[in-house]
Amino acid sequence: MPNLIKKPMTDMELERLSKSFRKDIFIFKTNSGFGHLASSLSCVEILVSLFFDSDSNFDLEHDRVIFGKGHGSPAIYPILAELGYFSRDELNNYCKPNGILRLHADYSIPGCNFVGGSLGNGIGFAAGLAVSRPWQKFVVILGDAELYEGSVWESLMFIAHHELKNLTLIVDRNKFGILGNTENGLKLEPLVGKFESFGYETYRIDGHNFSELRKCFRIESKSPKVIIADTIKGKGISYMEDKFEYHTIIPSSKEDIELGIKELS
Amino acid sequence: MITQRDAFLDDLFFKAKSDKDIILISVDMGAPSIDKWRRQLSAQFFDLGISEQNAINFASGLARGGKKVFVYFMAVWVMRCFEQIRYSSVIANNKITILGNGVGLGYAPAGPAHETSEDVGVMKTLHGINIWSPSSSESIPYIVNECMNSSVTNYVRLERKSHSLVSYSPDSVNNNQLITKFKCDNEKGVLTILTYGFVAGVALEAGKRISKDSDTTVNVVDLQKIWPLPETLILELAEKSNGMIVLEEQSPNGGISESVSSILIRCKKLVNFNNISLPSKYIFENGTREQLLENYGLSVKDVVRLSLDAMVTN
Repeated sequence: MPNLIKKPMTDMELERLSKSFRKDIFIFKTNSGFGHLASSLSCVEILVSLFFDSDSNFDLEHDRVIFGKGHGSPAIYPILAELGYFSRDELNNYCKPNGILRLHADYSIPGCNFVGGSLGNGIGFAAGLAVSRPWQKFVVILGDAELYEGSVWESLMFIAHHELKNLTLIVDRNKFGILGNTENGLKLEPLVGKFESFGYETYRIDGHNFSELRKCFRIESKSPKVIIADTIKGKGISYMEDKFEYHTIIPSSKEDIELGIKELS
Repeated sequence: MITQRDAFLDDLFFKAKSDKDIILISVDMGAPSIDKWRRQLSAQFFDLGISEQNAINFASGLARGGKKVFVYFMAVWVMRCFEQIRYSSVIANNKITILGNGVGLGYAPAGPAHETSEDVGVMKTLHGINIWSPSSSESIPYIVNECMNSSVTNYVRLERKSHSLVSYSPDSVNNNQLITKFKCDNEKGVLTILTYGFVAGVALEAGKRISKDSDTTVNVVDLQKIWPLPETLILELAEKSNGMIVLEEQSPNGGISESVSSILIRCKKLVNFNNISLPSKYIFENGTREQLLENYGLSVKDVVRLSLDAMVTN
């Protein structure tokens, strides 16, 4: 049975926990060679804040996280293991034939509530959950490049119109798609203005800062809430940070792996 | 005469009055039957505007939350939100019912943007989906119940207009299939016509004529539930028939004729087989549905001729 009671933790403890989860992610990704390591690393503090910060207004028993950016969803695996949804040994079996953890998280994995891997759909799915279960809170983690999907904006209109305040949208604004910086490809900015014009209470914060995350999660908004969390793709690994090339590349050389582990230790 | 669409939505409305978990979603599509939902069951009705992708994602989330969800839009739009049907509903096991209105050439003369000669082919590629295509409004209450009690996602193809085939009396019912037998006293052969939807009426009229004029007993099988196919029934009928025809208002690429022929080949049932389908092309021609069907060989006269060509008389 998972342990769903949060203990009070200092920001320093939350930071230590994030670093430890990042190391887990780095190890199981580099061991397997599968998936999107850099995208998983950018959203760690967002998840740690929700799952471990006792002041983040997220109830582990009732509230749910839905990944829009399913390629980043393996970031949740060490968290779910820590909470006891499955054994930590499963992290070593990531993407292996005898393991339960896959490249994209899905509902067959204990603690997961969605199927990941197709962008632009988690938000509408979460809207359905929010309407059918108004007593629960739902948090959707959207990738910034996921915002290019038209279906996201269909759902944004719906959520704002129906004032689904039990739904919080977080944009993991790590600035990069596969081919580079979003602003050099197809401009996404000004994102705050776009969401505000759709009727959202919009906050822009440092997505690696627990104090800012906590403050945003605790706000009782008058309308649906969007948090644009500025993050660093590949966060924690110096040679990966803000390098779009690492979207699909997982370090494989002995030197790169050793350096990565050293930086996360 | 009530349309299949209104028959479905009315029956569902009746059930929804005592079951608050039944939800109807429209994407800015109206109907007389929808007006009742809007007025009397507004808490169970969502108009999402013209946003089919969001409609399917939202419906899937509602289904995950325990609701019984029905999404209503033009049949051709299943291809617009096919990814969401596949991903959010079918893969994720969030069971919903999709009501596709205006099937085949039902929107003629609106053209191929509105008409659907590929939807069956597209939808039956999804693993574990049920596809219904009734010919008569009388079947609708049964189909509503089947969808309500189903454990998988259902796609129901509905006629947007009422047409002459609103009531008929099949001789037997095999699970979901309605079988009409035109018995010939001086029987020299047996022909089976598998069909569904609007052209079931064409098949019934053709069956009657063939039986009367050609010493042939004709089984017309209105499949009604067209996917998955009733394989056992098809093989039993093939065993007893000299010829088998699939008549469908779909392209042969992906229509059920390909699947029926595949069953016959796999099971080594060497019955003479032919399909009578729409062409594999987009039809940019004015005309009524009946006129277009005649232009492309799906008239009663053509079905009689092509059926007799396919027959081998012992």
